[in-house]
Amino acid sequence: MSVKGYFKLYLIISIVSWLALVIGDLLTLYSLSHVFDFYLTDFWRNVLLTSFFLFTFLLFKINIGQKKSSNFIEMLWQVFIFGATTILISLLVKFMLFLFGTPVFKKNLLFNNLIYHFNIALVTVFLANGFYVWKKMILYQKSKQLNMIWLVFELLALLSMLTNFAYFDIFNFKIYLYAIPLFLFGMILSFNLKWVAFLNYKQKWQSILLIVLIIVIGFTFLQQIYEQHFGTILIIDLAQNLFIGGVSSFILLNCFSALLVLLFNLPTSSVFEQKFGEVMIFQKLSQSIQLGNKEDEVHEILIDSSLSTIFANAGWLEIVDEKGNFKAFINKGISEIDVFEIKKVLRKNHFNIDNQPQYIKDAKSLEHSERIQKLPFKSLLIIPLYSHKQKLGTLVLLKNETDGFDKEMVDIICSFVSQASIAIKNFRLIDEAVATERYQEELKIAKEVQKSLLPQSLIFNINLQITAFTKAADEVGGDYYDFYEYSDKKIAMVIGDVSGNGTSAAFTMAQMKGVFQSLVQTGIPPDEFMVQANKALGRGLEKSSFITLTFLSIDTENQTIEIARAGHCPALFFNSHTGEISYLKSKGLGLGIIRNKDYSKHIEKKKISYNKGDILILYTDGIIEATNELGEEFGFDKLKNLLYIHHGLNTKEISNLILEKFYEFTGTQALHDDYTFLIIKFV
Amino acid sequence: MNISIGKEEEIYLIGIEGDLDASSCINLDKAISEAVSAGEKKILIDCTNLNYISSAGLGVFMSYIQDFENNKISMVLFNLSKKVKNVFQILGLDELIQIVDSKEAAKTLINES
Repeated sequence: MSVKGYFKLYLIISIVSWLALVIGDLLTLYSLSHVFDFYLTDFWRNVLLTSFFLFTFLLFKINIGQKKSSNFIEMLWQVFIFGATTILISLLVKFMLFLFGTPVFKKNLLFNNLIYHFNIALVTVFLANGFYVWKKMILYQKSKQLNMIWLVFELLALLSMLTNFAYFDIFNFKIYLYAIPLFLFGMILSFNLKWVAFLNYKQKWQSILLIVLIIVIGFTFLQQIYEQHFGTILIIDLAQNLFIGGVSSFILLNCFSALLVLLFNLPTSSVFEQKFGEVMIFQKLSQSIQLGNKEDEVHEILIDSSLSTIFANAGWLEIVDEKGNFKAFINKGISEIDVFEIKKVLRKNHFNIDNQPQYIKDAKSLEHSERIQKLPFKSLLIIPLYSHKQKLGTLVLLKNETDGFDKEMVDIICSFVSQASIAIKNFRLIDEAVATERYQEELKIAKEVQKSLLPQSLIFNINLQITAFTKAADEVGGDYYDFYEYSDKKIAMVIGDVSGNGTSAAFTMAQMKGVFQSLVQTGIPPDEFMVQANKALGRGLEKSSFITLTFLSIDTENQTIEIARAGHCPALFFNSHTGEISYLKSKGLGLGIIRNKDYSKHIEKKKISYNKGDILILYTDGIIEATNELGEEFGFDKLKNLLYIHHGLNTKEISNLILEKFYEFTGTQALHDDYTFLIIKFV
Repeated sequence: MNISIGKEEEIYLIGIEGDLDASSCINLDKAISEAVSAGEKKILIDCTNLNYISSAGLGVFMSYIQDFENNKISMVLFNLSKKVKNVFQILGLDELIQIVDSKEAAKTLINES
């Protein structure tokens, strides 16, 4: 059977026992004065009474045993509420009797016994509740030994019900044979008050109040029982019941001992708790990062804890960021205008509130303090927040008394502040790390994008020898080159550079590739290509971004090159017949600089013929503008001379040579731009 | 990089010193946009000490071309080093932005327009 099942069973048995007892007793009494024959024997009466006691107690044993053990106040509260309600009911009945009852009625045996049976029920329930609540409290953090003592005590207490059958008189010495061991065990148990230590100052006061009330209720019950013991003829008399007497004295004993311990604990507990609270605040501050709080929450914790720990009347907290700009401001118990006025007074008095903690015993006695005279605040404590010599902010606390802060207060606030400073600094470091990581992640993606946009392999043409080289700088740049093969006799080539870098450059490059791949297929000449590309790209480009581009188509059958240059570095051309070497300068504005029809005026097409052995180099400004440690640029002339000297080599060899000289020149200088070149030799 | 701002009669004079790159071009952009919002119509840019200009720096000049045309503001750059001038020329910006060799020439040019 489940716990719930037992609960229901016990409840039914205890109610049935009580009802049977009431009916049986009333009928017995009735038959005394009437011609009616019913007699409930003492034996059966005691059976019913004992069964009622037993099952009511078992009922509460289950009920309270299930409850969580740490909420003592709630348990005491439950006992109190229960007792108070029952007392209230019985008082109400008394009051009604007083108002409406006739003297005859009051002396009616039947009626008095009915009332008394109700009293039995109420007292039993109150005691059962109290008994098991105390069990819970006594056995809080129990030892094995204590548990054993309790078990024996509980057994003895429950067994004492059997004395119902024995008709002891309260003055009979035999009763003490049983009562003394019960009392001793109860006494031992009542010294186990570990739970008191786990209450805070406020809870202790609550407990004291509740226990006093419970004691009052307990005595009221006892008083009622004895009042009727002496006043009326009772068929069942609890006054002489060992079980009821034992349990109620156990509860009262515990109440008194708890009361004493609580009272003795009170004075030290506030000091203990304050220290404990301080430790908790430290923990809160240092754990705020692990708990995933925000920096703002640290600010809140700092000012709230500081105010409450030293009982300050008001305060404010200013937080600045790395650059010293205002980041957060919290004011508690003081308006912003008053903060402003106080700060003005401090400034006029040349208080340097940036470096050292400052303590002002009486702000109103300062000079220029006219405008703060009406404020209630007198003493001020100013503590700056620092981390690694970097100022994080200032905490100011105010009190209405002059000289309101003692050394201990200042010390504790200083340690709060330094703990909070560490937490704030850590928050900022984490934020920074996250931002950097996110940026790195973005760059990684952009680099992937950029890489995927470049052709995976060079085209193969029997009349051309081609070598390409590209290298991205640490931050993603926007160098781009691509090919298109119209036929085995005509190919198109493009090289470009997107301004800016990072992710936006990578995406502009992606657009560029789309524009190239779609326009090139129409077979339009280079200048027209640029006009169309400018139109297409101009719509999506940022206002200050542009693209430089060189587009050329090579006709290997007629040995001609058509070329247009849109703001891109001019191609380098070596003529093997004349031995001349020159940059193919032509008019050409970068793409995206002007985004209207005028663009066509700024671009021109150049057509040249070539011979076998001629060489064309396309490159980006990363090559030209790379600097050495003296800040000199690699420049156009160096590139030109290199090609001039080595024009006899194949493109791969020329490429290696250029790179060799290039790295020799730049040395250990970090390169900030991408560098790309394409070398084409006509063979 | 350093930006200096001066005023000579009706002319708003911006001097650029050092490298004009991605990180410093914001300052130039700020100086020019302040001039525009103050209603300046004649802006001279002194490039005597401009050592290097990156594409981001060029982007700043470029982004104002349309604004200046719309608001009838004239801007003249003067005294560019050969290297810096070449960068303007390669990009084709020399066709859209007035570039002269001396301050006198720049003043003459800007007062004519």
